[in-house]
Amino acid sequence: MNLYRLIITTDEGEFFAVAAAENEEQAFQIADREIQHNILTKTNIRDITIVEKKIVKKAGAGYLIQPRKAYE
Amino acid sequence: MSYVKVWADNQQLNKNEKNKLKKDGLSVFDDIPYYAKNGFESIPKDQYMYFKYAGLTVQKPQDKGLFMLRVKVPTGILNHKQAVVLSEIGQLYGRNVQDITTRQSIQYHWIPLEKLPEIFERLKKVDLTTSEAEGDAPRNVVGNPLAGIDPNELFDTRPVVDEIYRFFQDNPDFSNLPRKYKISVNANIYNAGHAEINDLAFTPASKVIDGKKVLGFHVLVGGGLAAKPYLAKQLNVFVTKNQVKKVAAAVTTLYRDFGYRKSRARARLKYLIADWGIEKFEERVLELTGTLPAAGKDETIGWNGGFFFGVHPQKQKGLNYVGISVPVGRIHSDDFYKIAELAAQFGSGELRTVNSQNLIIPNIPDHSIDKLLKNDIFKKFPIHPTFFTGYAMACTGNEFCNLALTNTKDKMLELAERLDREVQLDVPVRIYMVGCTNSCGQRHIADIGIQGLKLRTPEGQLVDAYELFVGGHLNNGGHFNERLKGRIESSLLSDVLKDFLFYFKKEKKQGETFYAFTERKGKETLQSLLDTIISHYEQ
Repeated sequence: MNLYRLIITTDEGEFFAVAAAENEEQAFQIADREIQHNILTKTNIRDITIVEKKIVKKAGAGYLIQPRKAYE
Repeated sequence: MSYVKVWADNQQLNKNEKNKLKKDGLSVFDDIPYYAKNGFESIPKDQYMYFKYAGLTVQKPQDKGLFMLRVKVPTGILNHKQAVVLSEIGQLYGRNVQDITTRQSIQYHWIPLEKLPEIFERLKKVDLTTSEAEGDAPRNVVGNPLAGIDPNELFDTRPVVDEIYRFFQDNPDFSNLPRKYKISVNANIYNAGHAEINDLAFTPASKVIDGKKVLGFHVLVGGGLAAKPYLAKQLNVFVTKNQVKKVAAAVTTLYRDFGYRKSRARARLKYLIADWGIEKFEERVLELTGTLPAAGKDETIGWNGGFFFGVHPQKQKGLNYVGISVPVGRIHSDDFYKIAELAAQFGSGELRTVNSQNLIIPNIPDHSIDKLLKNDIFKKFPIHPTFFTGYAMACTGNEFCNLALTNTKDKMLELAERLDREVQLDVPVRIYMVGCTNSCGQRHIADIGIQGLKLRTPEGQLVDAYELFVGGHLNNGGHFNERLKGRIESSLLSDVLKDFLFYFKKEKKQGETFYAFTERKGKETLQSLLDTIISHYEQ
């Protein structure tokens, strides 16, 4: 199992999603599901990207979600 | 072991730390013969982490019993026997491929477990090692690849590097650090050791002491790239050559004893220094070393990016070094052997690896230069490479790395070759490509950094895509490149970059570097340019 960090770029700016998935395709499907569930007013999504992948080991895995700095 | 593990009773140690307390990383060399005899299945999964200390990473897919293997090459200097053995290892065990890394090491893939004992034996015979090339220990000591022959060095750093390397190598006092630990020792005045991105760096300096000018080093601590890059900070000390070991031991002892061991994500030296502040860290260093003179004159005058292409006179009259381009650092072992043989035939047999993933043949007499350069190998590995291929770097990428999202080496080569064909410039542009956020290909300090990601197209297809970062360098303390908004699909990357660099060509002043151009034009202008180019191709 991997933990993916995704960036969703919309007309209003970018926000982040995290998905625990077996592969990249599944990670995008999970992000879709969460977007549909969490965003009430439909927004124009320009693109969705996976920017980082971590392998989930016994100790787990995680991300700190914060605005990206210029060098990131 | 002659020290007390002061962290041993800490209840909040991470799992690796608990394991390391039970069993030191270097003990893996005792286990490997058993595993090699009994097969990959005989390795308990909880022992994988220890292989790092032998310079080994289990290669994906993880059940095939193949390894990535890394060999240390301190400051990049190889004698002839060592160079030959390195090519033989690639030929015999690594499918005839080897990589020159950004820390001047040599790296192989597809190494079978059962061959490890004989590989170690071959390396040992020529005084090379894989030990601590990975793992939570002092990694390869990088430095000036021209040490001892460099007209631009303040002094010869070979004895200092040798002393430091042998002091730390397999030293049980320093084999259990909180995380990887990178040392640079360099006296080239163009920052050939990339000081600012190392945990501990010794940089060229001088100081007038008792009326006499003394040559030595300044000391930088706490640098590193990865996902949270940090430029090293300078301690206010001046260090003579014979004090380097003492200072290195002090800094490393502080890191060993006070570096964070709760979370591996916060274990690099940069986090400790960020919390303590540079003044407190310096005070603690001085408590261990005793008084040191305050910093003197910094003798670094620029940054050469680690590129030494072409034929150049050495400081020894009548001798020359020849800088060779090895595109993205990947070379067939047969070719590495041929170059080693040329080094023996025309020079002293030495080869030198460079942190820009290239090679140098040193000690070629004036009268042998023409004969050497007639060899066909230089058609494949030119000494005057094109301005894109010759200055491109790439990490391992998803071909072998479990964390990379995209291909890098093949993609970078394909991109650079097209740019070489279609964009003629009067200066090189350093383009470094990485497949994830960890920056093993040093993306942060590139003129143009390219970072891979996975994009889903509007049609629902999953494709490789890339983001661009502009204006990175290690001049005057360094600056990390900055991201331009917009993701570029893999299929469009070379089109977009070609147009981007056409603009650079059209607008640049004669001789102006990409870094200077970025400073002059500003990020907003380049963002606007990229927006226009991307929208053109997306229509």
